[in-house]
Amino acid sequence: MKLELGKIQIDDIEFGEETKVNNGVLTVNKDKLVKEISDNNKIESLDIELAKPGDSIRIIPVKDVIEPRVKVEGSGDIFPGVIAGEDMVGSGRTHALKGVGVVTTGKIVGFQEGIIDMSGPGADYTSFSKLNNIVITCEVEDDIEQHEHEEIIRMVGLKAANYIGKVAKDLEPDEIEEFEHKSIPEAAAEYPDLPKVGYVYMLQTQGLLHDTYVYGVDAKEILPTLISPTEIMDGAIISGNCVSACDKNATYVHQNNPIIEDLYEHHGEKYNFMGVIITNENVTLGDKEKSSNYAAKLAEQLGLDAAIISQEGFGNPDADLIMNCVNLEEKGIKTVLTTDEYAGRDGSSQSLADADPKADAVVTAGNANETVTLPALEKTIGHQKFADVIAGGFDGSLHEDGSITVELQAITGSTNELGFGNLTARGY
Amino acid sequence: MNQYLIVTDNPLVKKKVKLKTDYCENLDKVMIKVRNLVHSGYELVTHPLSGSVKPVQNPYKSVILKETDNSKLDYESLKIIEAAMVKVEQFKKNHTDRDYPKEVLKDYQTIDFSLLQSGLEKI
Repeated sequence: MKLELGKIQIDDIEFGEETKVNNGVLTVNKDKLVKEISDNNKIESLDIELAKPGDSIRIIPVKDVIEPRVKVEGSGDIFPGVIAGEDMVGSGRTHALKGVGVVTTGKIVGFQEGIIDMSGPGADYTSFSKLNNIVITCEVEDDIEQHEHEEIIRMVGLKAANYIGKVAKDLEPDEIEEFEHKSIPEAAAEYPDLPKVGYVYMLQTQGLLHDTYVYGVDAKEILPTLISPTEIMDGAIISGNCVSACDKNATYVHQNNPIIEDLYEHHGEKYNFMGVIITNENVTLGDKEKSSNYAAKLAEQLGLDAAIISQEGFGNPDADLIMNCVNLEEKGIKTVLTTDEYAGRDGSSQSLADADPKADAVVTAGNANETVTLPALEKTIGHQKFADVIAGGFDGSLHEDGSITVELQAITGSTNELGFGNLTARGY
Repeated sequence: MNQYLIVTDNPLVKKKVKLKTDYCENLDKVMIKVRNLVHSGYELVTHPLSGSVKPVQNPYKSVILKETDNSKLDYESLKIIEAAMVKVEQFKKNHTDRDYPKEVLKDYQTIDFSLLQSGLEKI
């Protein structure tokens, strides 16, 4: 599979008569966008606001962030099996509006999650503060079940990104990158002297607000499988995961997976990037073993010498992470793990809920228990009152002056376990 | 199905699940009960730290266990519950007992119940 990814840099966004791009400015027809995404009769209200880098705006609670993309050539369309049909994606050409995020917000559960500050100290903790964000506040009927509510907001975000992405179809990209994923025999023969490296990509899949979808399939129902990195760039993996703001992989993160980008960067020079194995994080120990054994088998079939394993979330995903590490290491495949830490506010507690001596190469994206005070901003999009009960918040989190003291885990993407952020930890 | 047992402090489970259930007053007692059951020959079916909302922050937890045939100690289960108890103690330092509004409590119960259901579908 070969994919050309055409990047169109957007420097500013505004509302206007026509949805279009002109000289790096994305104009959005608000009424048309609302019409495009509000076809579910359970939606009571829907509002769209803009939040740009540097604005004194807090978005809370954030559900998902999505990058608008469009298929220009090749089969299928963005978000296959969900918005688009069942055709395979990952080949041809795709255009992406760089610098733009579609952000969804709305009340789903009482404790909520996810803060994006567009300015101030909070903005430094989330990469999404650097985007020109189109923020959708979606409210639904009161008597709706939480899982249905989550699905409605998920679909609203995807539809909006799809609608906006279409403006990029006939544009000339500022930059075109080419990504190729070859068949296993071809890939293995191409750089026979370089170590074969793969990526084991763990997806959060446990239940309500903890789900991830692959071609629209609930990933907790799959056995681990091979996927082309280019399919992921076309939106084959989407997030339905809502309640661990700091380390959840928003759909934007799947579309722009930094581990995949880095693996491509040195492919053919330092190593031979053989491919991606997606696996899940289930609640039963039996399923964990089954998936981990199967992922290790696929790694062996790919002939890997080494693999990067990333996890999503904390607690029982730590068990999957360590199990995957041990299974691969026992097959002679060297592993590097990427994660974050819940090491207590003083950083002195055990970081993960599981460990093994074989996990001797681990990269951390920071300590999610660290606390931070976010000063009041001029405007809030969403519901600030959730600050006191937000995951990562505590009694008294929301101060009278509008400032909030929270653990980093309340900030969307702050300790993202794929390294899609600014934090890490260093030993001195 | 008699060999399966749910240990929980989630009132929603008591109402909705027919499987044998050991209902505890709070999260601490759930963890202690699960550990004691592991020592007496049960093994864990679901992980005691399932879910993204951290323990203590979510005051509810439901764990499925299975009675082993030979009542032998399952060391893997013991390792997992002991490590989970350490993490619960750690998170207690960050989140003291809180009076959540009733609606928030209901949402926490729903999330825990959804995670439990994922496990129940597999047994």
